[in-house]
Amino acid sequence: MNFEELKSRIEEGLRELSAEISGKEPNVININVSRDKIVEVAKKLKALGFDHVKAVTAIDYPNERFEVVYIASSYSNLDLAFFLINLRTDLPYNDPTTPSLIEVWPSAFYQEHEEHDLMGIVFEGHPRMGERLLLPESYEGLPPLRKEFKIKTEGINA
Amino acid sequence: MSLEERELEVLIGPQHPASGHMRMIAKIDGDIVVELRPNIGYVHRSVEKLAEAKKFLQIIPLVERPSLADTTANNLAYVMALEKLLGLEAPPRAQYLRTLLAEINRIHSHLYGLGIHGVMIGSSTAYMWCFGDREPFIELAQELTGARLSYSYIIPGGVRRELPSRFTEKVEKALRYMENRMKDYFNLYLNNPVTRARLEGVGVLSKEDAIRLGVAGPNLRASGVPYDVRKVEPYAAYPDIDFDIITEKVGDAFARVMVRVKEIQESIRIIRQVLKKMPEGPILHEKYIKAISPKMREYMKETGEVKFPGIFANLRIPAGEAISRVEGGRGEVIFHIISDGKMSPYRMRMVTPSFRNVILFEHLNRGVRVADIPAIYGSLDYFPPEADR
Amino acid sequence: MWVANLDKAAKKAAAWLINKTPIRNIRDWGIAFSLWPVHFTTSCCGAEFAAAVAPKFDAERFGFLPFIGIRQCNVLFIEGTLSKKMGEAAKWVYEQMPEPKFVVAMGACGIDGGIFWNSYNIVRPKDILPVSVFVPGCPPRPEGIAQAIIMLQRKIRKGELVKYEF
Repeated sequence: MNFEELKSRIEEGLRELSAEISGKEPNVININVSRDKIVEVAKKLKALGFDHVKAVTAIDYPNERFEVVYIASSYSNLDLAFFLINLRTDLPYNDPTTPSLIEVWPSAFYQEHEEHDLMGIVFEGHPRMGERLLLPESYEGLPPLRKEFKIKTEGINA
Repeated sequence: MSLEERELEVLIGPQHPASGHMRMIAKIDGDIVVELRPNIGYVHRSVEKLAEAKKFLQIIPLVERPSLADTTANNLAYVMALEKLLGLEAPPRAQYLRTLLAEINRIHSHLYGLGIHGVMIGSSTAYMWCFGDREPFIELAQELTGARLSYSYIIPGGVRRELPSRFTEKVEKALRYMENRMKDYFNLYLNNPVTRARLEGVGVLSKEDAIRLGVAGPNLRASGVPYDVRKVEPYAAYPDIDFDIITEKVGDAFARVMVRVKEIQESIRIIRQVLKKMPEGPILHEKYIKAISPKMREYMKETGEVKFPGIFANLRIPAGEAISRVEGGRGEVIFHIISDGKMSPYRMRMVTPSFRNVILFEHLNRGVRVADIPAIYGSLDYFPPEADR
Repeated sequence: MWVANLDKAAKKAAAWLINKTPIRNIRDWGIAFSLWPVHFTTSCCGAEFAAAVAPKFDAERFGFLPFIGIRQCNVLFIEGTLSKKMGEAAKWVYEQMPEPKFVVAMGACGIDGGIFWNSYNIVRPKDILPVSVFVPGCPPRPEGIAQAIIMLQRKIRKGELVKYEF
């Protein structure tokens, strides 16, 4: 399957869900959706054969928005395995809440938990929200991956 | 008594007989594990955050540290992401050298995993043999790069050093030694009834579950999914090389061990081909060679060591986003780098195979016997610093 | 009372005797060659530590063999970075070890954080434990570990580390 074919197939599959689809050759397809549509889009993608999540990245744009990116791909269909679907959603800065996708993709379980722990994104429906994963239980303060959280640096650029 | 009354909570670790810097919280009923929760984060050192405060080239040693036994995969995946953003590709000889180091690293990383698994199921022989046999390959890598484990060999646009003299013969010697040793491994360890009894039918991961849980690396292939990044999205010199994807059908602990053992044999095959097909030519991208002063270029030719061009000190990566993946010893390493055109990444997401396999602790240990926990744990080749980053 | 005094006197005599030159030397010599590190992997330097006790480097020839039970061990090897969570565990492990006990910190991270010096989640081993020997390197080579063992043995035999008080 080539890139254009897959892109048009995804566009067709997601037509009613007002998703913005853009591609980046050779193998990345970006899908932007609003957070209330994300579960449906994920279900559609799973039906298309994208059966697991490789990575969940949360990005912090201070005082503007958070972006959550699910990188999904396929194990069961090795024709699709070459392609990486980036399912993206923007969250408002003061309310970083998004529905969890673990019902669709159980492989996102620990990844979502980590982004909750380190970036402070709340994934609704995830059973371990509020628990720590990587940080010590006693940790208090800002989630460390936020840009406001400063660490010491060295050199004149600091 | 009701189940709740009989249930005991057992904390395993972080100091425990098996090697590993994690805690497992097991709920047991008699000898049966009802539920097991991995409590990770004991080696969380905030690589992702520190990367935001370091320059692009300084991050190369940083991303190697989390998985010290398998550094080349992280090094290569990170540099590949940078190269995607820079829009350049390393010259063919550099690609072959990268493949060579990656395969040497895969062999000693697999031996590390097998050795640690040996400790966990109480077989000191396996540990001693694997760690002893790991040394020739570490020594090869050391001769090529200058370090035992933390190579930092791969840099944007190429590699750091030329092949040493008479390296091919030394590699051949090590490979022949390893091939002979493999027979001993089968005779004394892998076909040993004790090993078989401990591992066969233990911790079975079905193909459907492996796909559903997004497992990575040999653990995935042991369940019968022929997924290997080297074939799916070939990088470095892998497109030119003939090799097979090793899979097993059963998906139990023994299958996971066997995948590793067979991958060692496959790596031996790859290394031979790489050395045979190695093309001549520069080992650094010409754009960077031009940036080096003529005197230093002369030095580079004489010694085969790359002198870093001045622009590396404050390397700026064009704004954009890149995802790279590499099949390391333990599985698929993913780097997702978001650059805003400055000297440090805006966000660097690093997903390691061990982190993706954490989910298996919960899944595989449900309903097994307590004595099977180390056998399953070891067979996953789980490296906590890699998972916690 | 009389008996209590005798008891006290005997203890005093034993302390005097065990700290007296020939016996003290024998005692320190014995300790120096029966070092049992806890099997407590804190971080990535564990890869090189494992290589040091494996064939080729074979730390066992120094009387040095990793062991599982904390109660039977006398050396705590901090193998690399201590995260905050692991730092607490390291303290518990140290407290459970019987006297005399020694701490060796391995790697640049064990000295002052190394490459992770500005991380938010690490502690310096020297801040929470009495470290006797530091092994520099990132990671240290197995030879470096052998050197650390020899240094620790020398320190013990000089009588710097072990003090018997009754």
